[in-house]
Amino acid sequence: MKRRNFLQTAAAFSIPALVPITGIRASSSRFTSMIAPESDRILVIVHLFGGNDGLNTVIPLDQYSGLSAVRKSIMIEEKKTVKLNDTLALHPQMGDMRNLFTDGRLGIIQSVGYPNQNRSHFRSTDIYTSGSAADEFVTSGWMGRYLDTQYAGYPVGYPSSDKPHPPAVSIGDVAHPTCEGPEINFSQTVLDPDNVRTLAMSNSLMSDDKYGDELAFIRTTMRQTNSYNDVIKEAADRGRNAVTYRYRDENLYPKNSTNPLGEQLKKVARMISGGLQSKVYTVYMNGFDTHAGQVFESNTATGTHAQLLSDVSRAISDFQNDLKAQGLEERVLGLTFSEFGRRIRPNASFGTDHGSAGPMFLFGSCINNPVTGDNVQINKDVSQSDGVPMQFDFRDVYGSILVDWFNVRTTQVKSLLYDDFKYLPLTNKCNEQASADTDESTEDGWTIGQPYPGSDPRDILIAVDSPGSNRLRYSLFDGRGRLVLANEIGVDGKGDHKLFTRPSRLPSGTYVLRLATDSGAALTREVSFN
Amino acid sequence: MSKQSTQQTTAASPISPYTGEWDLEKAAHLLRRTVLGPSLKEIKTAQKAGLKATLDLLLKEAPIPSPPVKYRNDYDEYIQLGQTWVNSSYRGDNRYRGQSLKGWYYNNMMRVDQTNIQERMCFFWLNYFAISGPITDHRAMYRQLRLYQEMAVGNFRTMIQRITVEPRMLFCLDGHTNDSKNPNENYARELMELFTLGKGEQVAEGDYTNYTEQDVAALARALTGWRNKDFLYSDDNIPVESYFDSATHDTGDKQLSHRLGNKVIRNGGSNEYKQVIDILFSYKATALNFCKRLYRYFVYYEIDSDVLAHVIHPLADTLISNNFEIKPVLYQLLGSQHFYEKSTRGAIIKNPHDYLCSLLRPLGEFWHETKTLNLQRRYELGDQYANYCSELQLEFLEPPTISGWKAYYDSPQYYRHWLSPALMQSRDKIAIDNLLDEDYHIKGDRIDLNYYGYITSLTDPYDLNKVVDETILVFLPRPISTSQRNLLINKITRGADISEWKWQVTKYIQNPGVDTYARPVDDRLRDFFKTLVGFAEFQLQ
Repeated sequence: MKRRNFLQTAAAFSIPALVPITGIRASSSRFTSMIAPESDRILVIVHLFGGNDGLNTVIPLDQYSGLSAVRKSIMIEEKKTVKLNDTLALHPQMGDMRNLFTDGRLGIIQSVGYPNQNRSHFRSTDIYTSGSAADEFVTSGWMGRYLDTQYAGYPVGYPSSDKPHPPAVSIGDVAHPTCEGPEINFSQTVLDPDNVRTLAMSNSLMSDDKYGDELAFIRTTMRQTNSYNDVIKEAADRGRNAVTYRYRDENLYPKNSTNPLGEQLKKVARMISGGLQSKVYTVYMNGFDTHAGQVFESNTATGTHAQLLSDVSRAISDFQNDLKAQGLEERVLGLTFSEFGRRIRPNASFGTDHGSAGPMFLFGSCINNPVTGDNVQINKDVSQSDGVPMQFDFRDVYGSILVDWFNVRTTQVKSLLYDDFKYLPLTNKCNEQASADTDESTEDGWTIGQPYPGSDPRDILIAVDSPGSNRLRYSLFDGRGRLVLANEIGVDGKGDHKLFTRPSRLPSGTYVLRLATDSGAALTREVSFN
Repeated sequence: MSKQSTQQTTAASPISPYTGEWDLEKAAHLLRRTVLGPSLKEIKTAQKAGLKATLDLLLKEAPIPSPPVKYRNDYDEYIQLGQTWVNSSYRGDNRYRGQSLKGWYYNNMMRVDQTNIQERMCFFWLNYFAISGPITDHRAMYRQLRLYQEMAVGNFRTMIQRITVEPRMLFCLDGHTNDSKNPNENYARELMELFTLGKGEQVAEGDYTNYTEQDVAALARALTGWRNKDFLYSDDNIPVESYFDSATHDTGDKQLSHRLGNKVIRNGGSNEYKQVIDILFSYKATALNFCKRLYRYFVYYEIDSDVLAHVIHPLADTLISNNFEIKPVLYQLLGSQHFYEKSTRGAIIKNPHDYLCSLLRPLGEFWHETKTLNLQRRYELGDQYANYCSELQLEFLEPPTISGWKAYYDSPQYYRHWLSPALMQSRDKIAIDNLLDEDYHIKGDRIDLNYYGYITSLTDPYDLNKVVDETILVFLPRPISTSQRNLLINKITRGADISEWKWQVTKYIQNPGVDTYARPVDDRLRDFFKTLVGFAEFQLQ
């Protein structure tokens, strides 16, 4: 049973029945723009600071000849890895995440990066959090810009009776730069929801000058601290954890230590469970800058990186199981990022230096594809300074999450992120409806039916009713999220149109069809070729 | 040079000398922006002495603090207790040198025996050059701090010369690996972008108005050849020094772009970096960039076109006409009409250093406690301040990036970066639950603030209204509301008539250290200060 987002306006749309089609299994997904604006969906952003070594995290099993040529000193023996499928495995310490993967609750996006990779931690973190290009300096965060569209005028007038909860929560001392808005950071920083501090408010003598501006800012911060702390505390009191969050693996050093990521996610789960309506949570884990001793020489499956990944794997798995046990998992999407991957060739200290692209993980039960993208190709000729080349721009990942998870229109995503935004079907599984038999209408006045085969079964047709003469763009993605076909057709009023003819190069299987109107509304359909 | 900038210091000009009334509020304003946490005594002295004499005092070259020492017996077995380690090799166990350095730095900041700008400028430089990075040792960090102390109000050109070949900077921006075969542009780029010219608008590919990519490449070559001695954590007595290695220096001509007058830098060997700096200093952009940094540090973050034309430009002219001596610029800025304009008085959000010092230093910090005069305790106390500041997101030897702390450059938030809900709560906790708590301990020794000393330093301790007003003058940037004032008075009277105070405090003053009289007053003052530092206004200076 798919989760349905309740729509107040659903009754307004006509839902004619469609004759079931042979040859195509079609199911529609909602117009993303129809997700209720007060959607209770939550994004949890996990920042793995330091630059995670993707090649020892998500291991391409079909590349061992290359790996043993260029990465021998830190490479992990194939038999020790945790296999996901015939060609891909995780680090030996990531068994818990493999279970999530098997369960369809973990997605891997291969080789995420951006053009002209900057290898400075700080600069690249700025790029990843602001969602800018490598040569652009943007002070706001990508999530902050989105939240700015949802919390007009923030912080003035917030919390309000409409929106009594903080837009975002950063676990820790520092408001995460991802949530930096044009005026102020949208996140409330929370160290410990059980131990919040009430700041004493008094009536200040305000003045209409620069002193007054700063004083007003401080007072707003104090007032928000108190109001938001109240709702955070309430939520934490009401909320619970349904599973025990494990300590660091007892075989790893230092013994008996808590799992730094698990401790944070535990708080997040409790606040969500208690009904906190913040849309975004950020957690932060340091230590991935493994220049030396990433692995132990004697056993490359052990070392600093093993300990880090064990923590990550346990924490994300405990969190996910907690949400599942509480029936919250379809509301929560998780995303990990690190400011860069590391180099392909190790250095002489059993570590790796700053590199380029690396994998991202998505977690939650609304993930479309277990794996998006192809395995990294390891060429024996890579130089000492080569990192993993990028397959996906991180902004396409962010933007696609905005589209599918937060119902942001593609045109707006372009202005929030970048003009070349390319949609990737990553997280729209839960947007699908239980019933496949619907036409849908967009707010710009289109009605679009289900794709169906023509008299030649290779032709895919669709019924469209458009307001006047327009163009309908389509994009077809394969199971790995690769764009395999894209074009547009002209439509004028009501009629049935041929979208495309299935090219012979496309194998049988399930594809995601994305349709977009001129004015920016978009929807996705699933198409299966026999 | 722009025409605008030469029309300076007419009577109406904001940069012309301040001629208004020199009262306690103005004196306190000047001291809050220059000394960290001025005391009532300092404020009164400054008011009596007048603006000119106060500037003389503040800008006087202060003695260089004696270096950090070995403060505990259980490490650095080759050094005597109380002796400095800054010139000693890393033979033996050196695990407390880091704490020693931190403790020393914060104790310098907290010292109450001089009224000077030295510590304020030391942090200015820490932020200006923002050196960080793992390749360092404690002696190199000390050397860097010492340079900042020596050059607190020195010559800007000399400072750039010295920092260019300073060991820790060479490590930080890869100067130590910059050689003719493989030039590293890291330092050359930041030297222009951050330390001198400033990056202007990008007007074409690789052209940043004030310099181009060609200049970055050319300067990188000109700066080749500087190496650090192999001193890092060395057991041998290798001094923390850099040296010029002519074999790795690029002796060819370096052609600069039209932005830098198409000049050619010819081989100057070990002095070539000075040629580079002289070229960069021949453009007003360098002076302007520096004066903007000073302005954001001392006055306010926003620099509009008026401030640029009528404050920054005249300051830059002063800097240039005084051959880059900083003192005349500070005299001009801190003595200007503009500096005392009401709008920006109190409009700086305190950084963590100011937050701690402005609470503790007016109360005499803990210097009266004999326990803190013990060498080890003193260093541990200083180290504790370092921990608080780190909790408040200021790690003084690890600035977040080479641009420094966001508070001083990141628009539009600037100083607001120092505060977030969690940081507000941390500030509140450190001030109220730790420093002002009657059970405050440093490593097992309970220490307390000297309320007696504070009360007896006031002009009229017997009149509660005057006690409150004088305290507001010292601790808060501007007058507060009546209801806030009443809150403070109630913390003292606890509902009793205000006249009770006179009797209480008379006994208190007459019987120092006698619990019967001391405790009730100390407890009330503690409450009073806990309320005062909780005001939003206490975050400002």
